[in-house]
Amino acid sequence: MECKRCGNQDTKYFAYDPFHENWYCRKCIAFGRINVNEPIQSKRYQTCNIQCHYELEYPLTNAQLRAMREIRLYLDQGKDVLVYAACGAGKTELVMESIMRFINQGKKVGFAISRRQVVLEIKERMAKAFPMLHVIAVCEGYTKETDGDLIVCTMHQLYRYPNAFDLLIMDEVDAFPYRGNPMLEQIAMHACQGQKLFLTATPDDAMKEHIQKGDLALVELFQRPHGFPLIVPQVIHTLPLFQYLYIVHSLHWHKREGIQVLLFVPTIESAHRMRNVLRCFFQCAVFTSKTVDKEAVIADFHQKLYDVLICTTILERGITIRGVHIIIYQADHRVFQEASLIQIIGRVGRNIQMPSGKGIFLCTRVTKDIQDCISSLQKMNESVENHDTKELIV
Amino acid sequence: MKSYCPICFRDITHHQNLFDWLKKDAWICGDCRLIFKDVNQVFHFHGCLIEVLYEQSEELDSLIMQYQEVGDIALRSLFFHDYVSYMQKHYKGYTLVWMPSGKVKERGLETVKEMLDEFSMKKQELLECISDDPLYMRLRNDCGLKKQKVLLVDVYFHKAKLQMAFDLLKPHVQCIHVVVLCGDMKVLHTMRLD
Ligand SMILES: [Zn+2]
Ligand SMILES: [Zn+2]
Repeated sequence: MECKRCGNQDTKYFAYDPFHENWYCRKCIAFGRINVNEPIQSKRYQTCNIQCHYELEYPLTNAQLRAMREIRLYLDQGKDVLVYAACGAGKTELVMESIMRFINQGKKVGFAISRRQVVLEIKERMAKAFPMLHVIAVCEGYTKETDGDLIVCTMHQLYRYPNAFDLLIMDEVDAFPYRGNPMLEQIAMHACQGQKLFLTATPDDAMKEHIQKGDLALVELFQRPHGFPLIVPQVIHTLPLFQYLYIVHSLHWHKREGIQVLLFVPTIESAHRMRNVLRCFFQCAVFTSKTVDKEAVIADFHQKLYDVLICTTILERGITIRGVHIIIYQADHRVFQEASLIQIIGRVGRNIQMPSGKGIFLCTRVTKDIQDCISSLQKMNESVENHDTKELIV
Repeated sequence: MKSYCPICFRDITHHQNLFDWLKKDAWICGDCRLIFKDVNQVFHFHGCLIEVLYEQSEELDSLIMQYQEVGDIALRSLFFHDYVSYMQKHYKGYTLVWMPSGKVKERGLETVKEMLDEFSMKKQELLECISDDPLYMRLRNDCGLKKQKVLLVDVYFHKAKLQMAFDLLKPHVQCIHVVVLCGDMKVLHTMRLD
């Protein structure tokens, strides 16, 4: 027995329904009930016949244009594409051209992201770039409307769109909950009847394997639009108590300079403990998965109402806050895996006015993840330099 | 006995409390156990006693929804599981009657009735809905009421529905007791007399 939707074959997840005399899968019941051997019903959503184009605040850089041309080339060949780009390299802008071309051919395009927070942000950016399109966000709390000219949704919501998309863009495929979750992967595959475009800053081994085999085309982009290299963090190893002292000391300096800090901590409890200490000296707020009014906290931080935002890895992605510096407390904790660390350091220096910045990893020991993160960043920076010289020679 | 939790599929010993583990009759894991918060209080409503087993919560609501609306019928006997022997003893001689649903056709089963399949008490189909609005119910023609004691079971404490059922049943039975799976404690405490 196999579930056509989630691919499950484990008998413990199947239940017999004596009232309808059939078996159904309980593993993916959260996405609605599907009976064994019941084919996935294709659901065609409306395609729009608008000729669209997109508008960008800043023109694309040469490096971005090159990556964009490569993506177009591979998609035209009918291939699936993996865009391996550094944080802040402008992945979202890169795919706008593909979105435009597919929509103008009367095809359906979906943009799926692991995290709900980021869905809302990407939706805003897409709506701004494509003012003539009806762009909708579909995620927890936003499920009344499920069809639009361009659909931006969480990976979870893809169950609503069986075989719906001709082009499915999947961002943050390296992130929880998508990574290593075969059920979500199956559901995502079912949502796409055409081509797939993956975006990531840290491709996993399975993806690298697909690239080697040739069923996935690779496009790299490591240079950020402002051309400055990626920030390589400074690693300070010392005991947790001294890490606290260092944080207080360094926040004082940042406050004087008027620079906001994102302070990453490993757990929700440690976030609250940290706040209890820091609120004696600074304006601070906590942002974790348990935070009720997430949008409001972010908005207040943008308004510079806080000197420091204490957060867990929930904030490692997608959020762009101008000119922040970051500090990681207990960067040797197991929640800070290489992919997380790269994302976190990617929050720094995303702004043309403040292209450089500081990232500090505080730890009691230097883990392999910290080492790998630093060497990946250095490799990305080197490959940018090589690329630049190549372009000069040509 | 299954070795995994029928709700979350983790190992049955997951976060299991010592007491349940020693009794060796745990049927859901420790985490899912927390969905069922005992109330076990009795309230008065129109001269009848209403026993509420669990506190209504978001988690319990969504589990009930998974069973009733999504059709995860494997959950059916799980809701009243802990109270089967208690109710059988405490309500000895009563006839078990369930609140009818207006969605039998759509769902393919009478959901409250099927929740009671572990009970060996005498059961009787007394009420039926005549439209998809659950308030439009009537006594079944063939019900054959003989002034017996009735234990009426429903999932939620729903005043209008209970009122309707009382009006239909009362002239024909000796007494009615009600057991509801869960209730909103804020609402219930406004009418608590016991
Ligand atoms: Zn399934
Ligand atoms: Zn469980």
